[in-house]
Amino acid sequence: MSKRDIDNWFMTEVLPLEGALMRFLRRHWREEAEIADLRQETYARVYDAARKQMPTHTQAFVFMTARNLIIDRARRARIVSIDTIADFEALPVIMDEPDAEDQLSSRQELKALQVALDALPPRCRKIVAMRKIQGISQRKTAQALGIAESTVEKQVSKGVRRLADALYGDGGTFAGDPSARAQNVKNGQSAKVTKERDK
Amino acid sequence: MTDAMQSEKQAADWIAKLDNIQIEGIEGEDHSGNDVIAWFGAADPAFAAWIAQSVENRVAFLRFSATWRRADRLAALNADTAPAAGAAVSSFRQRPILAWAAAAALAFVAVFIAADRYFWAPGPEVFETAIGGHETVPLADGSRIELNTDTRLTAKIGSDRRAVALEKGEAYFDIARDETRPFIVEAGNKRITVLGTKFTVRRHNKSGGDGEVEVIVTEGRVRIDDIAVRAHRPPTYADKGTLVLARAGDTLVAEKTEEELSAELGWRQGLLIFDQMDLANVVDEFNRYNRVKLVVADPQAASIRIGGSFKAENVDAFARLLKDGFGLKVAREGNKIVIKA
Repeated sequence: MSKRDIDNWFMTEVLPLEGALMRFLRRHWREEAEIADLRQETYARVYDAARKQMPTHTQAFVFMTARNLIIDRARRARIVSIDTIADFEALPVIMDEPDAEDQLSSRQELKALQVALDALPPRCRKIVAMRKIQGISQRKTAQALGIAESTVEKQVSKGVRRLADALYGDGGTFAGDPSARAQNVKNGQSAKVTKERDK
Repeated sequence: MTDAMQSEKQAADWIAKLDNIQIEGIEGEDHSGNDVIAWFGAADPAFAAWIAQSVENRVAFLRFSATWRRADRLAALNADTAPAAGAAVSSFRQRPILAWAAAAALAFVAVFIAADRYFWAPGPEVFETAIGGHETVPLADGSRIELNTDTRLTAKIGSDRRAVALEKGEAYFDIARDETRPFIVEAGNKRITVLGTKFTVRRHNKSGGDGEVEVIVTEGRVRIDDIAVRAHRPPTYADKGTLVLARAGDTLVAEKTEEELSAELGWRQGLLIFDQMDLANVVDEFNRYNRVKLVVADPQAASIRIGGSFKAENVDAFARLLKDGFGLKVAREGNKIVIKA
């Protein structure tokens, strides 16, 4: 497996699981602010492991990695009671099914992209639209808007981060249905890690 | 900030930087390797160092790279696609709170649709050749396209980009250099992007498959992407002297010698040039150019190897050669010439 093969595998097999992965992480980790961090570390571990040996079942492997990461973190941070650690050992790997629309039709994909684009802050959206809809270069975009090229670059950087979250993180579902998330939190309550800073 | 979040921020910044320089670099002389990480690494040592620094950096970059490429699909909202603009309206309407933003965005879209109509004012031009045809057409930007037999393509020369859709057949592109307007050829599910270079694109229409796309670069450098939705594969970059054969799932890249290249391009002189090719394949080539079709009736004859150069339209002379030179049985049946051992 060359690096390039692993890169391709990561982009085509692992990234589409992100919606399900995020739901899994949110169900088992209370601190919303740390979810993105857990996601990235899951990815890093998954990629690292694949370099040594490509897993046969990508989905199962990604969730197992996320589960182990949560356990490691909770232990290292000493934020949980002994009881909770015992619980962790029994932490189930719940197979969140990847979204049914994993293979979006061309029209759905466009719609998803449009929704993600619409959700960007106005200035960021305008610049991303000029780059991606109109195919205008950053330099020309800057000229057209009368702003510095470095500003355009900053907005592109911001735009790509938000688009990634919208397109992968919210499961590629349109507009990231908040009710679905609330549902997940409720169902996952029993396995939730409880922080014990107050103790 | 945690390491992972630091990686994310930096990765997004690199994507933004790459987005700014990539188009200028397409034809650079000193870039090697096929994927964007290798290419960008070669172009910018700081990036090479950063991506090699940690696996966190790499995965963050890959995630954004896939995202940014996915966003290319937004180009479908461009221009003359009125239904897409309609869809934009409805998606805004679902969120009345953001009505002001919707209004602003719509105004923005409307301006660009208008601008685009203006830019594309000459309208798309359709060029076509019949079986056996061969024609060179000039484009408004100074580029030239040479159409081989049985070829159809549509060309739109806009102020921000130049686009050709190759619907069938084969064409040689001699593209006038313009760094502000990339030239894009779409063939099947492949998109070939250049700034100014010389190359051929051929669509193979073999029965059964969805068709291969063959690209031969004779000057400069081209970039080949998948158009397919959610194909997050990195682009393939091909340099002068390269033949790229792209199928649905994979892409083969082969270096070719001068001699092999001129054989591949023989059609521009009306010649078919073969180097020990199976008769079965030779016959397929001849049949592209002629209404009278050669048919090989048995496998023994099909595997005979043919070398040499032939006039593409002179199928009768070729049939005589098979008869006299190779001792094959050749019989004319209406619009067919049947060949047997």
